[in-house]
Amino acid sequence: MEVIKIVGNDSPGLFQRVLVELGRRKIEVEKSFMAREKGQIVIIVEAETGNMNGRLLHALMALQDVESAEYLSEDYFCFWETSPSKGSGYIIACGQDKNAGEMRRTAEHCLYKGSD
Amino acid sequence: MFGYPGGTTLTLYDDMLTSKIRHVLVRHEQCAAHMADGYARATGKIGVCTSTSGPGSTNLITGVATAYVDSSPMLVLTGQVATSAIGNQAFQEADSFSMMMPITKHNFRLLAPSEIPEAVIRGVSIANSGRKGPVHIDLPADVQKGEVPEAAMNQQFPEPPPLEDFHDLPEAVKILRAAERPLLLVGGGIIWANASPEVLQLSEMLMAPVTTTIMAKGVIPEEHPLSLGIIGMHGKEAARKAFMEADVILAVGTRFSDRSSGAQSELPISTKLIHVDIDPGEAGKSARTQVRLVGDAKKGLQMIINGLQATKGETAWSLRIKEILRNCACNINVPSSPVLPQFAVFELNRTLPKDAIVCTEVGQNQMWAAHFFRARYPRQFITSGGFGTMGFGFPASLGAKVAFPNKAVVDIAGDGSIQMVSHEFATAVSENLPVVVCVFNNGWLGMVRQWQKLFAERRYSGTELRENPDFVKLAQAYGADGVHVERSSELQEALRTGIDAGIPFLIDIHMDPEEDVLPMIPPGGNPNAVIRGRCTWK
Repeated sequence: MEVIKIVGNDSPGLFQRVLVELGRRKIEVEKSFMAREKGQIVIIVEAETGNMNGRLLHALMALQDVESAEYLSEDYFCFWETSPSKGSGYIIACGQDKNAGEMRRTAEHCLYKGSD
Repeated sequence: MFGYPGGTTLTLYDDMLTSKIRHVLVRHEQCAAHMADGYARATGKIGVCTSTSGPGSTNLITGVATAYVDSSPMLVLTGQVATSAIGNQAFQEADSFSMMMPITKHNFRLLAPSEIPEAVIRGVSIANSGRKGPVHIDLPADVQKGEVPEAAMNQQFPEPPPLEDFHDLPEAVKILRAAERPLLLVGGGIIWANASPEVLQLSEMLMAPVTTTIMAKGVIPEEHPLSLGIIGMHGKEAARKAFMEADVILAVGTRFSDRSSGAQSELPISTKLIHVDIDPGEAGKSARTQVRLVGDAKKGLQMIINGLQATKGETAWSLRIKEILRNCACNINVPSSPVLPQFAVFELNRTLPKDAIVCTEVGQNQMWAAHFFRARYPRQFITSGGFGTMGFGFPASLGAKVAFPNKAVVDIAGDGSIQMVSHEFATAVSENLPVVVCVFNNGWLGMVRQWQKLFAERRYSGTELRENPDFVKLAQAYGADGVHVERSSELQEALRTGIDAGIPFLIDIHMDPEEDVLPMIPPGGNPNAVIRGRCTWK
């Protein structure tokens, strides 16, 4: 299993296009997270990348409006918070030390956690 | 622009009345896409097609996918229901944006008139840059009617720098310099990059033979002593032999498709593979790749040529190539009745003007043409190599004829494929596009029949085309003309009549259904287990 972070210009349909690109290459997406802010889109994907290896990043980079695509080697935590009155925000945090900085702040906000 | 109007493109068509754009009214939207594709392949320029929303856009899809797989630059404009109606299952509404996504390089759904300039300017740029391909713009009816603000018209959209990686070029040059048996394997990327002169120059510098995928047929003249012809399932035995004996393979603009170079897995472990491709997702695709270079084929080849500098004379390898070519013999000058398809292609080689453009449908007709037609220059041979779309050739030939009205344009068709698009004789006649359609008529869906014959113990299922129409009368009904050919001796005169007819012309060539497309490497089989036909190997 690999975790991939894709950042790009927030053009209509880019999230869909990334999933279509993975799907047509027989790559099964286990989980995905998308957030748009100030004209930029951040997509985190957990997937079995099969034998594509490094070429997958090149293929994703070749998509229009994608600025970067990289495999993530650290633990990542994506948190999204929303309310009808307060609006929404998101945090993508990483790090070995889950008690520090962004990770701890994220965990404090977290209403739901998976079993692991 | 090739298209078919509808309720959601009324504004677009109204504006065309006051523009200089030539519009070719097709009889089915799929053919509009094929014609735009044929125009693009014949010229190297972008082709444009259009349809209305819903069924119009879904009809375009096969044509767009055909262009996408073969990296043909196209701008695809579809009408859409008004923005207020999107998502309500309005009349003739389809989610064209989503449906086109997997078969286009990029697509735009416009929700305001101010977005039109960006979509058109960037769309054309995206279609023509990098690995070329179709770009789709979905145009809601109300967006077409709106005024584009002046500020939007003046926007600039600079092209991003090309994705390139030539860091390992010195290694590629080193390997090629040390090569004893180099071979060039080139694909359609060479055609799109206009890199044929560089292929020829490098081939002669290294005394390296050139084999092509079906998409690159004609990249160097096929009568050149270093040309091995096409490689692949129905390719030349000489090409396969040289491919297996080479110690260094320089693959450029090819994506190692299963049909063209599946034999790469059988290469000796010592064979070195250098892969140059403009698509970073394709470069280095083969697990055997030792040097991966990403970028434009023309630029990459020029850099390699500059790095090599020295030119080789005759080598043991070039002598071996001559021997390989001598050993692969195909006598196709075999007059008969009914006509042998190989002879029909022989006659085309002999009779057509040297600069004639040849398009094909898909199936046996395509493979006979690919194997036996002697292409002389790039873009002369136009075929649906990747998607394998029956019904591509005839509309593509019309697109090519629009681009080159003074060249003879011929479509080699099967009796199955021509029936998918025969209505376009109406377009050909009304738009004054006098192409010649040679129907290789054997009464069967020949390629499927061949597989049933060779691999399913002759259990023919759903492949006999019973009650075919009289194709000549069909052409005549549209105002075209034609002739039946029963014997080989009649073919040359029929071709000359067709080329000089001045109107679309159909030659219905009656053929023996037992004749197979050979040689053939069985699907998934050992490349050494070639099924040979009229081609022999000493």
